[in-house]
Amino acid sequence: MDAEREFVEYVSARLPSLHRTAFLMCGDAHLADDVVQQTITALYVNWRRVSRADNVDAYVHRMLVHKLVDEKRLSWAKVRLLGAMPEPERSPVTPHDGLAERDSLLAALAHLPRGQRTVLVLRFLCDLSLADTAAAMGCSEGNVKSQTARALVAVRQVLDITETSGRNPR
Amino acid sequence: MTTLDDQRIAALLQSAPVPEPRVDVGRAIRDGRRRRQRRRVGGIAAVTALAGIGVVGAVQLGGAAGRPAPPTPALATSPAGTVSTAPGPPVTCEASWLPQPVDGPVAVANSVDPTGRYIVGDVGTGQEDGRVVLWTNGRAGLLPASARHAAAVNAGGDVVGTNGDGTGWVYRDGRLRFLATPPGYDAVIVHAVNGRGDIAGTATGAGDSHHAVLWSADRPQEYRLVGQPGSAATGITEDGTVVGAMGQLPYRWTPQGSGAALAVPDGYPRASVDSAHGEWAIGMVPGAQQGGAVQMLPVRWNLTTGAVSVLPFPGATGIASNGDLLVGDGAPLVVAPDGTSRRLPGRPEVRATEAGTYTANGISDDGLTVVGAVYENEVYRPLVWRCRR
Repeated sequence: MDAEREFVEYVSARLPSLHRTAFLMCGDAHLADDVVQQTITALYVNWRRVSRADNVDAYVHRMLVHKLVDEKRLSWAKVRLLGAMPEPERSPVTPHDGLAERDSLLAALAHLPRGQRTVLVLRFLCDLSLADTAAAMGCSEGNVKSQTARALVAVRQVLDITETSGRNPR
Repeated sequence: MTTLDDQRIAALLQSAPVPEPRVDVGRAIRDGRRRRQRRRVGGIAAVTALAGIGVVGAVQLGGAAGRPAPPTPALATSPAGTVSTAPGPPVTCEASWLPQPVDGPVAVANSVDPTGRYIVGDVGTGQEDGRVVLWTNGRAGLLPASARHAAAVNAGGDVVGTNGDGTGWVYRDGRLRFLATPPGYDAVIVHAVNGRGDIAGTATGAGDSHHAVLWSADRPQEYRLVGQPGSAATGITEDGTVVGAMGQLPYRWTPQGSGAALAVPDGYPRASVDSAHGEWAIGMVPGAQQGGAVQMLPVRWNLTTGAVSVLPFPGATGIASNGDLLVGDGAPLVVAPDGTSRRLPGRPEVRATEAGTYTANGISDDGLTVVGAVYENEVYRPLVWRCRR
């Protein structure tokens, strides 16, 4: 089937970037795998429509965001059902001497609330416009703008701190 | 924010260390197919409910192009003994479970050989551990773990398939071998194998390039390109006729390799071919727009006369060389070329009654063996229907 071949081609070509996007959004390798798997399955189901509409990337970004939210919601619900306290937030990686800047960025991402993290990845990694980011996240452009601004402040702090500590031997 | 900041953050995000993806494209396709089937089935059930009719019995073929997809008859839940509703010899069918060689909540029979002797399927947990099963006369055997996603089996028990990474394989006489990917392409999709061991599939490469390919089961590292670049193969008959596509056109190639377009039904922009057996091929045309999605309608070609018709069913899953058509979604139904139909019975212990509980995926050449699965309590179990005339 032609459609299936197109689907395999698209997904094979985009898989590394999809996975990077998902991982940077959630910071969890297993969750990223699950979410990408679910996303490409949903993409396959809707492939004829989505590929014809010529907005495959937009669809995929929206699916990734939604699936991530779903997964988080489900894991939260599980915790609640068991009657236990919600799990504490994953402790962020602590930057230390000699740590590469990009690792600091991962650490900075780990500190961010999910919304800020998502805008950062969509806007800077996926290079989406304000409007496209808002569409993928299902929120207003104003919301995207303010989340981006806050995320950048946080990230810049982490990066500057790293640079400072790199320049000043203790 | 400065531009430098933007670029730097983008570069950092691009280069941040990320673990290897563990994602399986083949599984996405398989799961997606099931979900698509269930979704389509849901839609049909709704139509049936709205119309308020429970059609039971013969569904006439022919003159169907204008009126796609009437409601499918409701599922037969009697344990055995569905009978042809038309005059002629009655056909009695019985559903039985196929044994599972390993446990797994997703166990499905996907294809049956022309004789009904060999059946292939997948068993797994839905994670990355699916195994291919070959049932021989009902006895289950596992293929080596490096074979994934079986596509077809021939009358000699040769199994072919495609792994999630786009590697084709053939399993013959207890040995698994991989198919050559033609130079200039990075992946193949394997669809069919005939009794001579001719394997049909499509090689795909960068920039949407693709080409129909034939392999031989006894020399899997050799291949023959079929037609021109831009061709695709989806099926092969016992005499070596290949069906597929050339660009947007449904296409066929003779065993000698000369190609010709198949007819596109009047009033439709294009058509695709899914499979072929004997003198029959089935495929799809894009139908009406429905809530943003296009409903695909099944079509059938007679390869001898070239005649094509749009079928009045929600989908066509398989075609037997005697012309029996398998409607596998919802309530599995076999429709003979004269238009008479027979529903396939359920299993008495299956409590689920909604459309989509039963899926039929493959049919033998005499139309008497059908394979598929039951979906109940979030578990798929493999099933075979055996019929007698």
